[in-house]
Amino acid sequence: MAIEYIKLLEERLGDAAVESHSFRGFESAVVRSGAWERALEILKTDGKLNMLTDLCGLDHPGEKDRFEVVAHLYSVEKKKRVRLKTRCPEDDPSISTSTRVYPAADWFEREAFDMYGIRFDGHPNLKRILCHRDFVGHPLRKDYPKEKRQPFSTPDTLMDEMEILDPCDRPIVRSSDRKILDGVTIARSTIARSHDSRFLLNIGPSHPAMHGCFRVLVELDGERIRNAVPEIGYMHRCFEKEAEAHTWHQVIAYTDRLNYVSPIMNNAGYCMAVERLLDIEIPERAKWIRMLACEVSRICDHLVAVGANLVDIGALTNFWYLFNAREQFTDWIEALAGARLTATYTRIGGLSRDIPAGSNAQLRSCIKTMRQAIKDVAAMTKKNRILIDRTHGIGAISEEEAITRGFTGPCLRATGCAYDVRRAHPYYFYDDIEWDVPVGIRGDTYDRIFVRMEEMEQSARIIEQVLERLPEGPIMTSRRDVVLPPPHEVYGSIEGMMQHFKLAMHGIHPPEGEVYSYTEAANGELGFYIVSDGCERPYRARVRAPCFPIYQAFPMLIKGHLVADVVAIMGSLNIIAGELDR
Amino acid sequence: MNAMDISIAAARAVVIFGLVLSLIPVLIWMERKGAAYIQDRRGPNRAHILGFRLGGLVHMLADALKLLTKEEVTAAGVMKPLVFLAPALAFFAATATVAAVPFSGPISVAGQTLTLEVANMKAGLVYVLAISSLGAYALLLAGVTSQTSYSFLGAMRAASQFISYELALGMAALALFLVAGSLSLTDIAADQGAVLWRWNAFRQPLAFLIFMAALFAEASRLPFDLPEGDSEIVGYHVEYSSMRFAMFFMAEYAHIIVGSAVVAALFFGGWNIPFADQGLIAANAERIAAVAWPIAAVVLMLAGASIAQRFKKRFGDLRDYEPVMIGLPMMIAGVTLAILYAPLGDVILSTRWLPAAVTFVLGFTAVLAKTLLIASVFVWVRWTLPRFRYDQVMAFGWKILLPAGMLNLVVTAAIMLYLG
Amino acid sequence: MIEAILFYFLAACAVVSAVGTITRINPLMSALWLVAALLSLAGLYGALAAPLVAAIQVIVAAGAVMVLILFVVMMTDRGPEGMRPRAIRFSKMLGALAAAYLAIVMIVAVAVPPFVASPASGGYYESPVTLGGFVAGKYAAAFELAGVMLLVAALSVITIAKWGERTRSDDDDCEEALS
Repeated sequence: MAIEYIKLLEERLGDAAVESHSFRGFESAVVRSGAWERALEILKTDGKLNMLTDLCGLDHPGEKDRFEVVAHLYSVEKKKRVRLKTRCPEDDPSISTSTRVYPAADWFEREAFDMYGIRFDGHPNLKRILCHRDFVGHPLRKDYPKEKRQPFSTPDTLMDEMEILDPCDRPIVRSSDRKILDGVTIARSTIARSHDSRFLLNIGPSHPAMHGCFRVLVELDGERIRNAVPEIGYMHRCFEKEAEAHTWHQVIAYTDRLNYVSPIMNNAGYCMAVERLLDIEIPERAKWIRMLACEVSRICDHLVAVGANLVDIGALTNFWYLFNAREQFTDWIEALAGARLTATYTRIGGLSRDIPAGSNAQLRSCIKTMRQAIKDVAAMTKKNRILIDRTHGIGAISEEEAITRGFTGPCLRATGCAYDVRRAHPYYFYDDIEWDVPVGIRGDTYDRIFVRMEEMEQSARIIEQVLERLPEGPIMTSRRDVVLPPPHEVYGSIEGMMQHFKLAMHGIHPPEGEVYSYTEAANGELGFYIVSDGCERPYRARVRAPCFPIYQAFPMLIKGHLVADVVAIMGSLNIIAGELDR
Repeated sequence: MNAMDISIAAARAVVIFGLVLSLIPVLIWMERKGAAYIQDRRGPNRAHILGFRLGGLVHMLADALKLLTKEEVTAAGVMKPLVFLAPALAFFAATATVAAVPFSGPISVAGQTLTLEVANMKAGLVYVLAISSLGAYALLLAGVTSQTSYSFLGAMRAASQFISYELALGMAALALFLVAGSLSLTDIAADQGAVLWRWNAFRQPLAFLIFMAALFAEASRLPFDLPEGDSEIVGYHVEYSSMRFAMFFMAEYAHIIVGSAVVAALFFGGWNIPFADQGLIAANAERIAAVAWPIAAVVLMLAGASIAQRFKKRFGDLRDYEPVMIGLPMMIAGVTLAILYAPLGDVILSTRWLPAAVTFVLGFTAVLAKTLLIASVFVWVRWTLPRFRYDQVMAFGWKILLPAGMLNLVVTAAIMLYLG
Repeated sequence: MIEAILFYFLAACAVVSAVGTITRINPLMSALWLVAALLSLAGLYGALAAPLVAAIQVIVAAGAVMVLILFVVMMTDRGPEGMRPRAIRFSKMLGALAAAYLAIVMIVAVAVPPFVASPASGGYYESPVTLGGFVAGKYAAAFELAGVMLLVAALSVITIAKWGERTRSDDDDCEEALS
């Protein structure tokens, strides 16, 4: 698949390229830690791998070089991927930073530092990101006990980061600093007033437009944003740590809580990763139904994203139009999975249950409602002067910049880059049916809203075609080391009973290996990097959340804009805290 | 000024302020129901007293009770008198303007000419502008004295927005002054008369649009609700709770009602009914009453019947009987009216004060209908448009409304000069 | 009788708020007291049967002082520490002289009233035409002069605010150098 990159590295780095291997068709290259930055640079400039999709740490206690850093690189134009790894020893866990090559690596490296204590030399701001700044230890290290609790209550002033970041370079109305008059001084919690009398405003973590729980500390000039520092981690639920302590199947329920607006897509993404690890093919009907459920989830997600975004802009009525449609789709999901939000619908090797009777008619009526809602909302917004003035050119990002920043999904497509995992690397039957990838031109808030609107229509087209072509057949694979045998075998044969006992007591045991599986979730490429050591639990279950790199670019997007734009841009990026903080 | 005059003036003041206050819940109800129907919802329909829901109107009562009994929280270290003053000032500025608004045409009773207005001020228009501009202080005080950066931003937005749009408001109003030759709202309304195309909305369309836009800004309603801007900065009243918080909202609705009444007087002829001027109505009072009486009886009966027949066992409590409890009395009232027509009809139709009563009732109804109709535009717009951004509000006010207002003023002045 | 009570009450309000205006350290509070003073004056005009002038006074109070407050908040940066008495300079002496002159003029004006009681009552000052006639005709020069004076005052406020800001940052530099 991407053997050329391995050759390139071997050619250019010589001895520093230690080894290479391939598992389930994914090439990995291991380089010496000293050559890390060089290797990345070669791959970016000569290999045209322009997007750093993920970077994470890994812990191998007891081995000579205990910590491993794994980067997943992707070339949007060549549609090729490669995994680059390096190791560093426990007594000096440091490698050089990759932020100079890939700006997107900033937060990924901070997370690796936070979770494993790996130091990235030359990183501009190597600070904890998900855990509190006073946290002791590194939670994802294998020797950190899962039960250990460290409660904190003091908020971070974030002033250290404010000092590092460059203030806005766009024209600013008035440059002199501002102080509010004494006696009517701004005081108390919402404002951090520093000695040099800058007007600082905390937007979030509890703010009507922060959908979820994140905080941005902005420095204002009038209402214009001069500088901004985001802080995340308020919703950190230790997904990756919990995944390492649960069996392969139990993790599915945890994935619901990642992007809680479209949980089935997370279920499907995770199960697909484990299936790839096990090297099993799920039955055709299961594939079609997964596509169906995923597209319904995508519509639900986009309906929420667009609706909430328009509420932030002040156009409240659209929210109800869109939510009427969402309500109907959610009813179908409830009939499908038994829960409206935490679906836990897919299983490793297939699905938990078949689609409910009458789905065809129900979904068609849902789509009808949705089309009407989209029509109504488009009529109220698309040519609305106020909305256009508020969203055109606001929070704009160029295609190139977006790719370097690791943008995927609607936010990347709004810039004009037609990268959609379903099209670029078709899984299931996405290449068998007809649908289009909508793209924007300016990469601004307006484009992001209307790319999502159009994607809903495309998803509706996919749903219609799936409903037409849905074949009969089983919904679970027949592999007995993965799936519980049918009841008559359990009660009727000794093999069946033993199978059942083994699976129920010990779960599945995928072979040793690592996969990076990626699907197109509502917000972009949802990647699961899963490492198995052959045990009943994942050795490492890393989630590449699409929001993570997008929110990383948020300060850049809002600088120079007004306070009102912050919420508009925030809504259009559709940051989901559950997936951001994991 | 004798005791009679003073008591009449006092009575008028009480009636008019009472009217505005009682219209506030009606407008809130209109807003909620309007929003609900625009958004494919039902709106408030649950709260009831002894089964009477009145289409959700009882919710306003429940809300008032809730807000009155809630705990009042005041942040530590604020300047308390100013914090208390702000909502009161907001309410004062919103309601005091109504003193200059005529709610009916002049009617002569017992040799005296009366108008339903608090005071016929020669400088009514200037008075309206003056008092309504004081409303900005309420927002400024609320925002600045709360000592929160969000409310502070809201206050700054409020202050700059009010200053910007007051000028446009004044420009539009001045054009009307030129047309009518008087600053009194009564005179301006009377000047328009009963001829539809003499109404200022048609004679001064640009001034009308400017005035409406500026009024939206002055009442800080969407799309100009930046001082509140609930999804961005939560608003100038972020530190207020309980009834003091509600006062700001009551002030907003009062502002809309009074503003609509002012627009009705300035641009829609006030109490005038198209093509039926006061003299015509007074002359035909007997005929109008003679026709209206049976029609009222029939309408009451039919409406009562249609309400009563909606009786259905649905909730299993008193709410089921609401249609009957409302419909039956209406039917009875209709029947009574019809029966009374025979013995009392001639007596009432021939009374001396009938012309005055009919003109008054029709004029007052016209003002009320126009006011509520204009107020419903506020509701409609609020649930349709997105919010402006700060710089757009400033640009719109200074670069579009103000020059347009000036142009309108100059053109109007030139035409008036030409016409002599 | 009622008129007299009203007059003395409003006059007292005006004096108290005027004192408040010049004694508050916080400029915002000063401005709010100024609003109160102007509103009291509007009440006095109203009591003198000149509602038009009263209404215009309210507009001035609301609009102009609001602008003033915005200027205060946006342009000056000084809390009480910015209001420390400074060394007496020539400009201060000039200011004192001007104040003394103004005081003398006012005392003379009050003691020896050059005006006779207004012959007109009620409707006379109610008409915008009369007022317009005064402003654009008889007292045009005085009106324009007052406008120029206000403009000069506004400009000087901005200048002082900017100047104060500059010296403040100079002070900061000094402090940094010392520390």
